[in-house]
Amino acid sequence: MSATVTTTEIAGDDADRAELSVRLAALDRLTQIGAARTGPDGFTEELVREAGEVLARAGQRLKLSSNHTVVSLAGGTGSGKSSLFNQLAGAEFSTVGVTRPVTRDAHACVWGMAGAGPLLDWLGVPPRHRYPRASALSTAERSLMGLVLLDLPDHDSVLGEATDVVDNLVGLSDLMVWVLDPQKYADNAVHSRFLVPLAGHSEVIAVVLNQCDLLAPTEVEECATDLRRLLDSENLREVQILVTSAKTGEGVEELRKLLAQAVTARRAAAARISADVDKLIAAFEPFGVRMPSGGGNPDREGGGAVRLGHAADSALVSGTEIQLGAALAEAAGARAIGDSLRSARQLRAADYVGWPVSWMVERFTSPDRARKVKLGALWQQLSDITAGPSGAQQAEIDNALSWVADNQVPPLPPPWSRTVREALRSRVEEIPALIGAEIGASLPRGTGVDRWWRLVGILQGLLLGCVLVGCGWLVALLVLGVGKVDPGVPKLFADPWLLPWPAALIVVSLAGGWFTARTSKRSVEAAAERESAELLDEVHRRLTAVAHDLIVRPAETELAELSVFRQELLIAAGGEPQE
Amino acid sequence: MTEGQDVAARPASERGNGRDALGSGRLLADSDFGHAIDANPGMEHEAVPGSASAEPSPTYSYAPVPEQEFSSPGPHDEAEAPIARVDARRLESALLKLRHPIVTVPLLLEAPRVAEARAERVKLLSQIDDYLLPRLRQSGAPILVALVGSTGAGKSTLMNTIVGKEVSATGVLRPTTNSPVLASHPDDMRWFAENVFLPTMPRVRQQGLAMPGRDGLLVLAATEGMPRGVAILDTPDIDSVVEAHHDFAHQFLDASDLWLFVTTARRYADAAVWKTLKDARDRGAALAVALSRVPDESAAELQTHFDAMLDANGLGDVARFLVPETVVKDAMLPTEVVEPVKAWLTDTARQEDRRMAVLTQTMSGVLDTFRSRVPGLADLVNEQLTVRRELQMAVEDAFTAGLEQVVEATRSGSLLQGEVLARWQDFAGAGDLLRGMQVRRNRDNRAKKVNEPAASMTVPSRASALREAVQVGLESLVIAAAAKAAEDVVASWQRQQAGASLLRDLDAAARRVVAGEDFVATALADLGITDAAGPPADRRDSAALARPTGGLAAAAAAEISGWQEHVRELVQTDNVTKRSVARVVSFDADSLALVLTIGLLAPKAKDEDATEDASAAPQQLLASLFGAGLLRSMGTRVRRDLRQRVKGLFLAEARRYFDVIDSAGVPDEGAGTALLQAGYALQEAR
Repeated sequence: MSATVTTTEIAGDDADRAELSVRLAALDRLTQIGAARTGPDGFTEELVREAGEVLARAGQRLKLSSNHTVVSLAGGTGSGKSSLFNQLAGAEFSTVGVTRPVTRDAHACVWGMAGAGPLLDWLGVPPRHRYPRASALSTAERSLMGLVLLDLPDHDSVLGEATDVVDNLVGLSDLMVWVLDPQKYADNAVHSRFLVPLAGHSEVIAVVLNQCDLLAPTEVEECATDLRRLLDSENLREVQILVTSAKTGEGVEELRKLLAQAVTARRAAAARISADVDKLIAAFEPFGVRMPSGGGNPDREGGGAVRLGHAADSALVSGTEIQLGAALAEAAGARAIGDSLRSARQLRAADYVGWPVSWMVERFTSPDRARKVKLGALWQQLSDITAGPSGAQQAEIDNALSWVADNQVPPLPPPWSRTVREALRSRVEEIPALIGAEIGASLPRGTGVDRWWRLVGILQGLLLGCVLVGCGWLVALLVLGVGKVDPGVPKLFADPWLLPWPAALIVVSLAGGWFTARTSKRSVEAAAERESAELLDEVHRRLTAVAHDLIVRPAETELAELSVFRQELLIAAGGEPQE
Repeated sequence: MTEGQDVAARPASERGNGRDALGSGRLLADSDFGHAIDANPGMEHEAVPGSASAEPSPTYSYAPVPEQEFSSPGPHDEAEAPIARVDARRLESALLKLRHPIVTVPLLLEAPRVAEARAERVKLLSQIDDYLLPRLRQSGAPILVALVGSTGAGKSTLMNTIVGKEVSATGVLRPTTNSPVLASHPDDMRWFAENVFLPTMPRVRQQGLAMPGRDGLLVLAATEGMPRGVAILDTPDIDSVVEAHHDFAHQFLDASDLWLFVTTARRYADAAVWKTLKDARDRGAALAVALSRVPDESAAELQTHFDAMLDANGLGDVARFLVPETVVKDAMLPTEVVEPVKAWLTDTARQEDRRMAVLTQTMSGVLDTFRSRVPGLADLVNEQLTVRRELQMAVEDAFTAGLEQVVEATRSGSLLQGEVLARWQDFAGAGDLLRGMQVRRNRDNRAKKVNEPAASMTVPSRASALREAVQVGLESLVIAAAAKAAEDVVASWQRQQAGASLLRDLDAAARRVVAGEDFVATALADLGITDAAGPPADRRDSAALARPTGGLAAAAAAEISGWQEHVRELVQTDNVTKRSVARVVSFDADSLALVLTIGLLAPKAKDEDATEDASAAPQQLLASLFGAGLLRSMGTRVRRDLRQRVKGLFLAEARRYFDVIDSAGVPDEGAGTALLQAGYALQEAR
């Protein structure tokens, strides 16, 4: 801040700059968000690069002398830029010539050279083309203190490199004065290349219709009106038009006043950057619009502002992860694993709680043909196949993800619909292994043999023992008692009247064994059923967590980025963040 | 450059010989001249330097004399005998033959350079229709001089001064001239009637003073002020903000015989000026340049600089004039200022050699450019075919990859996971498999066939669950592969300009359809053609194209169960089990088919340690049941059948992409060649 400016100006200036730096910071974050998501459907490389350039330019310009205002005189060949430059500078600094093109390099005239060096270096004006205008300050000149006036090369001449210089310096100037002349004011070269893209920069553009001495006064009027119409049609309604003649000096005083205003206000630099930011915000805006749920046109309010409020599209449809968990369980064959676990349980339990007698009967009545074709080993092997973690079908996972992408993602503006889809799939490779691990963890541990099975097994053994004892007794009674083989035998084994007892013992034991096996099997079945259901629940629970971690969370992180993007868009547009 | 500053307008060196001034020596051999002008058989003159300039021109008539076709080539003395001429009719018919392939050239896809190709086609056609054909048919028509130049160069003022009357509106507003004005002698006006000159251009005859015409209207101004045999056309600018003017101007430029390029002291170094001048040079058209609004005090300096620039750009030999900046009065310059220009124009019209030189140079120049431009257009056409092929390849590649993905998944064992594996474990572990193996042993072999339907009903539930799991697994695989292929196709199209444009068109069409759908559906329902409650047709936009069709799931289900049925039949009809095994046991076909399926889906055991793996069991079982050789041949057949079925599904899926490509139009594969041949034929005919 120079000591010559009043306090109110400082305050205004500071407020401007503070607001601008907030907006620039927001633009920076927008650019970062965009740079991570470049693609042809949004955030083009070009846009991101342009944003980066504007940010870099703005950062440098704000760092450099805020006491100077850079004003460039730009225009076509022969429009009289250099003559006007010399008029304003009050000396023949820039060569004026009849043959074209004359000005090949930019020239700078500086009112108040102190501190302008780095700024001029940044602008790329070579020292030999810098002209200080510090001495002999009249009152009029003092009002221009801090002005850096640039005379640009012709933008439309056959010298291509000059056009690049113009492009560059037009980008760097705080205030642009376009010098047109009656012959060329409607040239496509200046309008389509420079003025139309600067449509948002009305505040920092002035248009000068030079060489008015060549026309009659009425023609000047006509010409200026037509130029006004042309600029209006290009959305440059705010732009001021000055009619000047470098030859006669007409209108030069007004131009000087305009420059003096810009210099004393010290707002041009900030205004220029602000206009650049506005332009970028407009380019970023379509990527933050809210889509109506029914498809169709993006939902906008007047002035292109993004409507905020409802957060319908910042999350996936609720319940997605539960449905996804179910889909993953399906892909992993959870139900089949449950069924197979149940079968295994029942088979295993049959070894303990089954009634050996009925097994032997079965074995006896239907002989194992497999053994005869030497498939016994295989039998064993197949019997050993038990329930275990089985991985998951990649294809079914893919289909589940497609389903989420198509049905559970809220309607989004172009680049986000793609990036959210990508985020959904970002960890798809990890899913099958994790599903396998989770199912493995859900499976019951241990041998799977319950204690009561053993007790029942012992009982069955006892019952079987009883049957055998009964049989032995029966045989003994028949042999010893009925046959009266040896009288020395105890009566217990020799009394034929005792025959019903062993018979009863056999019958009761057989019936008991059969009944025990039957009821035990029922219980085992019920337990296996319960276990299988628990397994299924557990698998669902775990896989829902997997779906949340690997699928839903990345997508919602991406959606959260979109919310951040929208917030930053509001801040960068100069509004207040909501929520 | 010897004349001084006092010369207001300075024809360079054309006083001696017009042809030099026109620089035709650079462009033409004398024989070319003969070819180009042959349409006017009444003309006996040859444009040989020094030979014909003094002869008065005969009356021109348009009546080709057929005998000329047979006139033998003259000796070296071209001034005496007509040189080998080609009948104008031959050239005309060659042009017409070239015109047809140009018109029908297929530029259907938005290939990277299609805009260029379309512009080139329009330009070629406009040169043929607006210049070459009319010139060939009536070589006696006045020389048409087009005033070309930047906005504000003073073209209209120059024209008014030459004519001596305000025929074209002038002013300070830019662009001034919105509608072109053609001025000629009243006697010559008939040449510019609708049926001969620029037939598509609406025109109006000027009554009285110049008034601003409507855009796109050609104003005809008949005035005694014009010399006979030459007409001047004031064209809209080539560089103002009104871009519509540029194309408009170029159409007129293509139709004229001679360009008088007007630029000013202030803008002669503009890039736009030199772009146009280079165009003119490349076109080979006859050209003259006027530098106007030159301040007197700097005339010499400007002249030198401008001359140097012309020389540097290969335009050192064009005629040039200097028009000083003076006071414009009544939309005209002082007459003496443009006198040299007018004299030069009159001379060009009157002196037959000059006239011939101009016509020859321009026509030959245009035909010369065809030498490279027609093959250029043919290249662009071939590029179209390449792009079309690329789009098709993208579809083919994506679906071939999808098919490979399916086949690979059935080989690598990745299908034997999840549900399928769990069901297999259940099926095998629970002993159902072995039970199935034994179930029919107790029955009489002869009764087997009879009992078949009943047997399939007794298939244990675990077997049917496994069968279903295999079916669902394969379906998912097919659908996932198709979904990926669909997405890949759309992504790959999006990357290509032509593909992206096709998708855009499709989306636009889909939006229109959605708008009209309700109406159509109601109408059809009213007519009883469709059921109003019927399912909505597949939406055909890019989002839908990136997904598999709605009918795929059903079709895949049908194909996969068809395949399973095929495996079952194979197992059942081919008495496949090893005889040693078959004597002892028999299987029900369902279980055997399942085992075979699982055996196929399981990965090939890489080493012996893997035998513990659950997946190895079915293979061992199969090997011991069928024998390795039979198993292999059966496996191959089953795999081939699956591949065929999936391929059929994918072909049906891919069809809609080919339909989309064809919706842009099916190009004629030979179009490029036809164009090239017609181009050669044209050059032959010259």
